[in-house]
Amino acid sequence: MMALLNAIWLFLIVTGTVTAAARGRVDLLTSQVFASAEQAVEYTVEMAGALCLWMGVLRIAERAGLLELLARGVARLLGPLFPDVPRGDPVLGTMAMNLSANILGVGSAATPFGLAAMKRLQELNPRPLEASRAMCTFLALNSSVLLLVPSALLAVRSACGSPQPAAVVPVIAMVTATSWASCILLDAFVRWRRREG
Amino acid sequence: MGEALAQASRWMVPILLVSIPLYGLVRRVPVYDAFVEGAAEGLKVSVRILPYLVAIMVALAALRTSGLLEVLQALLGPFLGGWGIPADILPLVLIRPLSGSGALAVTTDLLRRYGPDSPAGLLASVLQGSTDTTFYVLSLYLGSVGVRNPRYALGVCLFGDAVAFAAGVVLWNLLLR
Repeated sequence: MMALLNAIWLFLIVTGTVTAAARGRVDLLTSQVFASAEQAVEYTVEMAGALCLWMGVLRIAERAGLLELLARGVARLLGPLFPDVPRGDPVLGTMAMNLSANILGVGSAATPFGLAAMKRLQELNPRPLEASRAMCTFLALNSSVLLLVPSALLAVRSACGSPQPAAVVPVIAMVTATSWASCILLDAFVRWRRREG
Repeated sequence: MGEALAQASRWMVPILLVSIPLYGLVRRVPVYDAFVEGAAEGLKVSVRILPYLVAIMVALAALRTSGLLEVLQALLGPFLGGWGIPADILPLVLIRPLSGSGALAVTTDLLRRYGPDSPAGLLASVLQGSTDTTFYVLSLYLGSVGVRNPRYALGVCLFGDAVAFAAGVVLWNLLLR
């Protein structure tokens, strides 16, 4: 699978560059490539503030024992999906916060919780260079998550002059409920096929 | 219901910002010290992420500049016409799993050209809203802890995107057109 990510990246770079050159867009390509690299730094800098803010708040919650409290509550929901995570481990609470933030469409709040969860899952990972089963399940839950408030989309639809920006919300909720359930089932199926639990 | 949810989304951040530190106060946590300690961790995470972001965004820039997307669109356009799917939606399907800001830019472009409540505009909205930037999330999350091999996570997540795209097209046909 890591080969796939490598292959996709190489494919994008090579075909993009060769095609651009063949179509006489070499100068444009050169400037675009550097511009996007700069943009990556800009995004990181823009994101750093939110990341510091939420990791700061998260640390307060951690030291106050809030996540342990929350973890106990959601353990019944998330617990069965994560047999490798010890019962009552705070990472269940962190993942619950990440998923809740995703469901409400607050991506900036979800990411720091998600990264904090990955950090803890890595501590539990017996092979640090490979994604653990728990990580795969968490990524499956996270990337297909039920979305009730597509906040960025609502903003764009309003900005484009829609009188009913929320008209698509129920459909998106139905679609994401379907994809979420499919992902959970496929993840369980893959694990069962691999006899890993 | 959409309105109520939008309100919930609006209030989520302020509520967390007030309730967590107040809870910390109750539990006698030195809230300021704890915040700064956590924020320092946030900065370290940002620095770790940067190389992954550069790699992905440069590859996407090469793809966009090459004009390959237009070629693909010309090839697949006739197939999609049968479903009533405008061919212009293709770049969104291709870019959505790779780049969130890129996909939002494609969606904005579609909404501006076709109108946000036109069939094409509604389909773009549903697809944009229903799927995630799988490659970005995977490289961000796995990269932040130094995991190199995603194993089957990539396949499961892409399957989720495919289901969402299919369900999105079907429900758009049934409910929104």
